[in-house]
Amino acid sequence: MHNAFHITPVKGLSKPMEGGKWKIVEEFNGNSHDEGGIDLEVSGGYVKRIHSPYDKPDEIAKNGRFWKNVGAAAYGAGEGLLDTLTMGATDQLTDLGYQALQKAGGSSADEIREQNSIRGYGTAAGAITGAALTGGATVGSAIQQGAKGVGAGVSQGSPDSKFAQGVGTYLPLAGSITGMAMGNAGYGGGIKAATQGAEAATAAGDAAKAAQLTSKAAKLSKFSNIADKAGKVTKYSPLIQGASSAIGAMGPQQPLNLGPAQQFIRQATPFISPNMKEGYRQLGEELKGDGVRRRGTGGTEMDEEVSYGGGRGPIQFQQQPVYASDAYNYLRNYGING
Amino acid sequence: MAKHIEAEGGELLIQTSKGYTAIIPKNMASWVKEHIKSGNHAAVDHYVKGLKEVKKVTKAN
Repeated sequence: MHNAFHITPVKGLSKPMEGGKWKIVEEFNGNSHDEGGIDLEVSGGYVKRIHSPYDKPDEIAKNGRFWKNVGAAAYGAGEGLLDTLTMGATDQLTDLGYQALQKAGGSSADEIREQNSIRGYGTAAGAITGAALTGGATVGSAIQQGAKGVGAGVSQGSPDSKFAQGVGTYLPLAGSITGMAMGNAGYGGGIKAATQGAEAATAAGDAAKAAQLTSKAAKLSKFSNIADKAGKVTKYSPLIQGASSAIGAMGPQQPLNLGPAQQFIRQATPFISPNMKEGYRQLGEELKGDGVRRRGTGGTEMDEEVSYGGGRGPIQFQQQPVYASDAYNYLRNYGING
Repeated sequence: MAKHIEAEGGELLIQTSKGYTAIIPKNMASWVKEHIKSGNHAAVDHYVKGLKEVKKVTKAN
């Protein structure tokens, strides 16, 4: 699976370089130019490693290079599905703006369908998380209320928590990722999840809540179990973070009865592109043997291919994150992931 | 259009809130890291502007 580094969104083409704050995105480890170097694919909104042993690069970045990040790709409309999730989650862009960005980003028809489906999924999953967090809304109305309201609901649910306030905006995203990775929500306890949750809270600058989050993060151990078994705790840390954030803002754990939402999500995610499908397949291979492969659950074709470690629960669509490393870097960019 | 760029181990990938990204060569990586950590972003601006610019990394269609 490729690493990718999403770049801060920037509107417009003419921002001067001066006056900004630099940050280190990645310190490259790997071959020297003489040994073949490190192949990167660079676009307006991302830099990602690629495996291209035979292709001649457009440029060898001997003595350094720089470029501007402009246009739609900075929002991930053309490239990053997780950024697409954010659009659904934060409602900061109108549909028209979203579509315009897709066009400007040069998305193919398949990519647009995929992004649309993921966007819908993200919104739905975020709303589902919100339903759990508020504990009062029905799942159906929570879906309809949209993710923007969910974020507000999270913040309102924990007015004394700076951490929850900060997380509120991005919780729908975290909830989406968590939902995709977990397949089920709200089972058992997990020591590593709790540990990661504590680290996450500390990294988010709210030490006062760290202990509380540590305790509560354990309640979402289904994800922890998957991650532990796969030996992917570090890789999936943003997902644990998302889980712990949700729990942290939620207070006493609420029962998650999401059966109707499952059907909604299935309807919202009818399109899976070949690339995404391949991502599921690869992740499924990684997780093979770490759970019980279940077939015939009435799921999609994707479920047939990747359905490991499902356990029991109302959400069984088993959408694993295609770009776990993207998720990590994405959340890190917003200070959610240290 | 996406571009294929070859970097190498020891180099830095950095980005700025102004929407620029840069690959810093090995021999300046420590210097740049130090200035970023100390908050001297203007020095990094000045250095990065002296690097060769990669043109047209955005999809054009």
